[in-house]
Amino acid sequence: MNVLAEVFNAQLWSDVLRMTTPILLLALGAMITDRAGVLNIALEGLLVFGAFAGVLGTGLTGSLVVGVASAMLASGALALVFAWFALYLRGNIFIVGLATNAFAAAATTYAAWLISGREGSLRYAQAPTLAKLEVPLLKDVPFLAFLSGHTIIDYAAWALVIIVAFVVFRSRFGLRLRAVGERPVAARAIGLPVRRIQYAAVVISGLLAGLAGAQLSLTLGGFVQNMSGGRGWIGLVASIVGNGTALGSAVASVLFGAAEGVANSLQITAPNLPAQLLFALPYLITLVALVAYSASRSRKKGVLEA
Amino acid sequence: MGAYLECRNLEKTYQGTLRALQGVDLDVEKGRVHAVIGENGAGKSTLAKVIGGVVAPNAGEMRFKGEPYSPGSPRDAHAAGIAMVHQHFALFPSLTVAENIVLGDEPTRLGGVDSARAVEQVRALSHEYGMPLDPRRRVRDLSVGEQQRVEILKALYRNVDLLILDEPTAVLTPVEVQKLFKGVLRLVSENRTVIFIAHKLEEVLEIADDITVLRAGKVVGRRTGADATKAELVRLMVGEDIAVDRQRRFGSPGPERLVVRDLTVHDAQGRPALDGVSFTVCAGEIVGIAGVEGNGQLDLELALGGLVEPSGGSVLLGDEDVSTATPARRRALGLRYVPADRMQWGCAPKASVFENAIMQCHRHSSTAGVLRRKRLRNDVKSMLKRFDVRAPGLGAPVDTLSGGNIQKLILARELTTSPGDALEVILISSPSRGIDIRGVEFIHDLLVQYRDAGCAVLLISTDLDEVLALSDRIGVLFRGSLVAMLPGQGRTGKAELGMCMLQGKGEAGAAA
Repeated sequence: MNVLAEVFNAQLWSDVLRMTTPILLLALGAMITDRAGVLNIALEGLLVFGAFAGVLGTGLTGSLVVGVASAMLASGALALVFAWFALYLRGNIFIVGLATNAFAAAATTYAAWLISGREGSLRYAQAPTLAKLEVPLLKDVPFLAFLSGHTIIDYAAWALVIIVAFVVFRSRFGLRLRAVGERPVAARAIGLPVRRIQYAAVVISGLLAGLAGAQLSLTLGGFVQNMSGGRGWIGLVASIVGNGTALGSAVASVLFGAAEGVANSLQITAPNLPAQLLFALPYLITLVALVAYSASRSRKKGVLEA
Repeated sequence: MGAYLECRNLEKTYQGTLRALQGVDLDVEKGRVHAVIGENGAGKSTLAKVIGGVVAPNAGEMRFKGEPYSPGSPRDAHAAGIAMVHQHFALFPSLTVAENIVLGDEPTRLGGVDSARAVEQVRALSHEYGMPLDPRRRVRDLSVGEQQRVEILKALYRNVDLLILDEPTAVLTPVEVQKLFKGVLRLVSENRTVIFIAHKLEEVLEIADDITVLRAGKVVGRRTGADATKAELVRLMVGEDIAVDRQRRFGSPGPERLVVRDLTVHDAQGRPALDGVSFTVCAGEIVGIAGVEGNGQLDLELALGGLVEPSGGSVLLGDEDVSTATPARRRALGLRYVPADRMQWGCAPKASVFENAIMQCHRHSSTAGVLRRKRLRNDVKSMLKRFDVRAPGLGAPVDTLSGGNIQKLILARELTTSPGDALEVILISSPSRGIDIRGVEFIHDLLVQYRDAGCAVLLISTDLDEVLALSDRIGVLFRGSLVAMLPGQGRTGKAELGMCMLQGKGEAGAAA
């Protein structure tokens, strides 16, 4: 069997798109906070929180709309707490962020056990899952058919690339956001509400992370302990490699999504490759991308002007 | 009926020790340029910050346009019609000129910033005040003078009536100063008012209608621009007569100490910032490198200091090629480096005076890796005394010192030698930027003293007077090339050198 032919098929690309979605949403959020001068270390925790709240909301009401909304609200609320500790109480951003991540992982695991009695997972048997929507016409076009058959959140993520790009680079809020992130002291001097803009950026990234969490858990139809699987970190890296632009973040996200998709696909098509290696592939690619990126940057800027 | 801006009995004490303002009265009349002059540390900047709403006074009151005026923030000052342009600009390098200017009061259209209108407004404004700027350029690509124009236009966009310029000429070239002055006169002709904080007397005499002189936090004199003389102002500022122009002796050059051959440095964009520069500096001479700022001075300084790697050519200290040597190696061979950017490369601003002072000599004064603090403290104390560094204490962070004292501290650290140290070449860049007259005199005398003792001194400076006063030979940098090496010590005139800097031509005749 020809492995290459099998790897580059429509199903694979469809998977890649699906794998890209959460990373893309997280990367967009990370880019917004980064532009406001806040490094969003808490993305991983925000993602887990959203994934859990999505399942809970859907399970309790039977409504996907409520589920997605509760995922976004839960992550947004946790983001607000993170922002409060980091910006208002002036906690060290790394410590506060790592604490947020640890809290989210532990709290969701515990809550899942409390509710379901099972360890580390939460599933409602009769709860709906996100439907795959076929796009008429597009689904019959050769080579482009893989673009069809995704959930509403997958499509929304790509619409958000454009919306985020507009907001950050064309809107008044975006201009102020970038000013605040570049030189907060100067921004304060001309009377911009620096803290409030930073709060807004963190909460927006929380809402996006919630959406990413909902995509993870509501397509699967349940919450599994630590189902974020490091995507929060990969999203953060994608925004950095994407050079702080929406389009760049999207390209980087596709790269990481592809790594995950290919790893998954190789498990089936090349069963003799060690599974551990395949699972490590997305993280390896992340690491390589980060190293390559920082190397190219330090070269360009010169050691002293970084 | 009082003045346009009245300040009465302003008091400001920093950290309970330094009395920066002691009962200062200031009356500024509408539609005039009012210069506030004084040495560094005289309280000029503090006064400016109080008026600009950056710093709140401990006591005293102000009235502006007849109304009580006590701004709690720069924002309040703007609302009242007063804006301040700081020495260090509060601009956003990655944003465009137009974005920087409208930020905070942006015109909008359909939920987005109306950038076309912003560009139009800024273009009209810059045209109106004779400060040409392309609104679409990014601020990071602008020269310092252009950035200053952005700051001034930012204030004018907010329609302020009174503009405070804090040492605006410190960062400008002579040509840019003239452009700035044209803009200032335009402002005044439109019945706006300018407070001009300065310490270069020629400039003050050229532009100011009224002059208030501060010394040690007090007003020591008021003059009008018409009836003030330079000698009188110096006496008021300093409190004693000092020789304004001092005659200096020639150096007598010895063997070559620093040899630079075809030195080439590329900038971040891959363009040559320094293009095949060659010269030598001998023992016992001062070679000045003049040029309009941004013509490769920084790259030359960093390449010689060992902070950037040249892409071509060589640098020799004595007989050793140090083109790619570490700063430590260069130092061991006798190079001492006093950088132009004191806060970035010259010192650790948050570290104490003591720590900064011992940064070079701690290796000699430790036992098994533990510093001999007592001995070091004594060394540092005598060092500070010798170099006239005035610091509140050895433990004070360096950034609480005035610019002049920081510079003297760096000089003290660089020029103090431990037994066995070599001191052959002094590389010093813009040594007197932002420093008062007495500090400048001190530093200049020091350089001459070291030259006479046989040091090779390379003086990179955009201050023409400084280069002309000190140099035995004068090199001119223009667009990264050394376009001329002129004789110093009075054999080259200021006009000739100025033409050379602007046009990049070696011969005075060709410059016409």
